[in-house]
Amino acid sequence: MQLFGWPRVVAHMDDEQALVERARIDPAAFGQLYDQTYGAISNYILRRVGDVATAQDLTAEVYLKAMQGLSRYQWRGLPFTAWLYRIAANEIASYFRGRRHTNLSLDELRDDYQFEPAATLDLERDLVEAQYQACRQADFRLIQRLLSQLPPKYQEVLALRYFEKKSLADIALITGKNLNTVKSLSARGLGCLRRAYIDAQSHSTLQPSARQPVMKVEE
Amino acid sequence: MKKTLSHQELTRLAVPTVAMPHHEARLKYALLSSHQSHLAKPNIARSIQKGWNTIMAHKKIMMGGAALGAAVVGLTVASLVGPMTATASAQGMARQGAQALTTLSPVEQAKIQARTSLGIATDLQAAQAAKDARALSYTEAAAQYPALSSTVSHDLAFVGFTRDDGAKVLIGLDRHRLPVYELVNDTTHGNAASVSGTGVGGSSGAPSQPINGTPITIPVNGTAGMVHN
Repeated sequence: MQLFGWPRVVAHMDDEQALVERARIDPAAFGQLYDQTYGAISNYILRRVGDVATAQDLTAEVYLKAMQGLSRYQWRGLPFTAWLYRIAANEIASYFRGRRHTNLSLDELRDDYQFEPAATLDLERDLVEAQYQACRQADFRLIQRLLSQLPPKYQEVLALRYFEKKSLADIALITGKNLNTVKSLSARGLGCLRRAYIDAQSHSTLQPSARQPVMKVEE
Repeated sequence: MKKTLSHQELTRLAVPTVAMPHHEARLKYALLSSHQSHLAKPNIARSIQKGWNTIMAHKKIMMGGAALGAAVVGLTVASLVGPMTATASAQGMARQGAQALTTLSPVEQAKIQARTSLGIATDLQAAQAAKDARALSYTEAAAQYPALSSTVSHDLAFVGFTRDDGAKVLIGLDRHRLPVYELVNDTTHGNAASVSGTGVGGSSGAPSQPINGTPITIPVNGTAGMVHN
């Protein structure tokens, strides 16, 4: 099976299977899986939830569940990353179902918590820098905001397709849905997104330039 | 972006890629530290142990209830007998903090380790044995630890003590006695301090920062942020 479109844990699927088997008992092997997948999974979560602290928490949940679930994990020839994406998608859905969620921009952080991004502490710097980077691209912010207004079933498919650049087949693997269902969700979701976009065009409050990031992180 | 929103346009959408190296490192450390407890036991042994624990749990309900009742009575009496000394109180707080940590699920423990200090459990143990351990209010802590940020929740209870390596440590506990803040002032390394504690589970605290422009550096040799022995 090809691994196109997936972060490659190892070059070949056979090697990946062996690595996953070893990871059940060997922390170093699990660490290798973690190193190869952290960036993709954490960014996927961050793009979905839009808040760095929440993304960090959910990323921790994903990897802990992956570690706990490794003993029950059955190799079915799918990329290991697809399994992680599925766990992440479940965690995100669970989070949105029970959330008391508000997106914290840097401005809001500063206003509400007297948060100064000039702090040179490592995790805080991570937090600030990540939030800054996530907010830099205005088009992305606009689409992310519009996407968050759609029903979750569309959010998941569209985020995987346009944020993670996954193919419809890959999305079917991650979500466990039939390929035709994914196609349908993608088409209908895109229609909804397009309508939301047109609506947003007529309301200046959703223009991408409404709130540019103004904070900088001092090194 | 144009007036229309096509599939092609969305496909070309520039998506930010964000690096969080410190979180990545800390989470990895936390995961690998707990790896054995999750994976080392074979499934059969784990199933047997789970079944055994279930059986024993039923038997122990009565005994446990009685023991819990006795403990509650004991604690109540102890709290009424008189105020403990400051050191004993601080050591007790540290013990409660350590116990609170151990009762958390692996998920919550890893969150605390990932978002605060990896060495918080060790420092809580050290605080229990420290002869100069003191229970402090926010005001008292701020007076003794100038690096304590004014944005940290004033509702936290603090335990201050000197570690064996000479570093002055301040640990903030929330109302559940969970450690949510730690400040390490390592005077043995040029008066540098490291601070963690953005609040665990949203319970308290705000990101910390230096006061009066005092530079805060992290005297750590490649570890994930806190000063450890």
